Amino acid sequence: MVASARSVGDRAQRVTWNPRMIATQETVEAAGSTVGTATMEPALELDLHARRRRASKAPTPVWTSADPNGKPRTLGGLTIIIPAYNEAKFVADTIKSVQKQTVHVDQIIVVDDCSTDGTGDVARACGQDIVVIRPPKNCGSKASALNFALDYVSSEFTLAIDADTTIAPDGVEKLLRHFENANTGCVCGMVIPRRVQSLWERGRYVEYLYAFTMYKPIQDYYGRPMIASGCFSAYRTDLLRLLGGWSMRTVGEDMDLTWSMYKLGWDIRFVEEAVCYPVEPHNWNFLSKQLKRWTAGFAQCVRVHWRDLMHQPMMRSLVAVALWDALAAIIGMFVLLPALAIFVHPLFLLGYVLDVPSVAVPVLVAAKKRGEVKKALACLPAFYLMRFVNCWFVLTSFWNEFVSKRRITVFEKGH
Amino acid sequence: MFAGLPGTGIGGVFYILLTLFMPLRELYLTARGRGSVERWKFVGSRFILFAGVIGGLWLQMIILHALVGSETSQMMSMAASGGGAMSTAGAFGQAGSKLLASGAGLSLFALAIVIGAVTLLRFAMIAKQRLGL
Repeated sequence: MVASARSVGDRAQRVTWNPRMIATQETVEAAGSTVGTATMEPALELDLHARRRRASKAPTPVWTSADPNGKPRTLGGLTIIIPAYNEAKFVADTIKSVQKQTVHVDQIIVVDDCSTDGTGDVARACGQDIVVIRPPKNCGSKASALNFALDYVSSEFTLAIDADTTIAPDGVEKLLRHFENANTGCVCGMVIPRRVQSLWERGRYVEYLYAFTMYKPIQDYYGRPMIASGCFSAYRTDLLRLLGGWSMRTVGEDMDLTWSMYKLGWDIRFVEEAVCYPVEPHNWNFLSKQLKRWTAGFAQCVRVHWRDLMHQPMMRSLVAVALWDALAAIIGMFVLLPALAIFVHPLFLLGYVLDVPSVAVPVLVAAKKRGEVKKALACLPAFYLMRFVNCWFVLTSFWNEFVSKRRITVFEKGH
Repeated sequence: MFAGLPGTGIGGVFYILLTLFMPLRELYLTARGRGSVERWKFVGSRFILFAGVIGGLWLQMIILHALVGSETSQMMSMAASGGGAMSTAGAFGQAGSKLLASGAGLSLFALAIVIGAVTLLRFAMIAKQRLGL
């Protein structure tokens, strides 16, 4: 893992990881615009494995005494990283939602990834507790920007959220509770689109309600959520360092990190009650970039991790089924159904929406909990269009990844 | 099984099977003194959810049967629930019985093939490692 900011090499000043040192705006400025690589000491690796061995039914304490505002504090401290590139419009809302959390946040780092719209200034204006860091040049990817910030983190827990994502006030507290299990390396939350106006936002709204109600809780029950969403996940910092931060070998850095943690034997939890609200792509331009990245990221993760997945019964089954379903959906939607509709009977076109009950029931159950049944019903048709679009992107990504070998390596921002 | 990935074919069946297995797992954990009321509640809620899904599909099939006849509705469900499953069945040269003729049966069959294939692949990997190939 090499962050672009780290390529400055010898000039770089090393930021030594010190649990007692919390970076402030002053220390960041004193360090200059270059940072070194926070390397993993061998002792730390041993300590991590020892902690895993010690993991038992008895919960390990996460909380310590409350801060002056009465907010509970985490024992080893908590840092929230917000990577931002041209997010002046949204970053203030994100920071405010972090400041309103029911837990004490030791450090908020905003990575102003060489934005041209004044994102850094907007972030700085949100309060003196915000540390804004700016790499010497654009990092090129979210993973790289996160890694740039990781060098400044000295707390036990690190939470990463997207710059266009707000968190429910109790969201972080609900996530952190699950670190009481010493073997939990990462905890992720529920995702609900903040804005549901355009066709694509409506489709995504149903898609999230469906995935996070139907599939993810079951994956969590069996201890294997397939992905800890990058827009809102908390990690053990030392584990992040052990893995070299967010990997840049794929464009799906969150999935890559999730699967890497499983490889080392760590647990990941999904917490349905911890909710975040990202801004989803509202137009085709952004949606296509995001879907290209997601589907290519999945294909690349399968390519990178398939050998390791083979030794994890639940994960290999989940991934194999997801792969099969995606490919079967392509054949069904692009070949079988149109052919049957043309050559046998036009009614076969109904096949596109034949699984309405299996989608609508979980979506409406989830929507009822949120008091949004009418909204969910109104958005349901958009889901089917979204699924058709997903098929196209899975097809092109898999083709590029495995057949034509024109792999996507450039991270294009989906919003 | 996450946003951005299409398909509810064999995935749906797979997750129903995982749900059906939950009480057995809970019984095992309870017997070993690791039971949890919260988890039992979760299992109950999953069962209710899947009962709703299956009830909805059943109702839909009744309506479709009434509208287009059983043969067409069955073919429709096969085509929709797993184009891949259908190709798998086709590869076995019409050896499919009545079980394969139903959408659910096809999906189960395809699921068995998929899970079986990755399990075999794993054994092959282990064998290759042991033989030092």
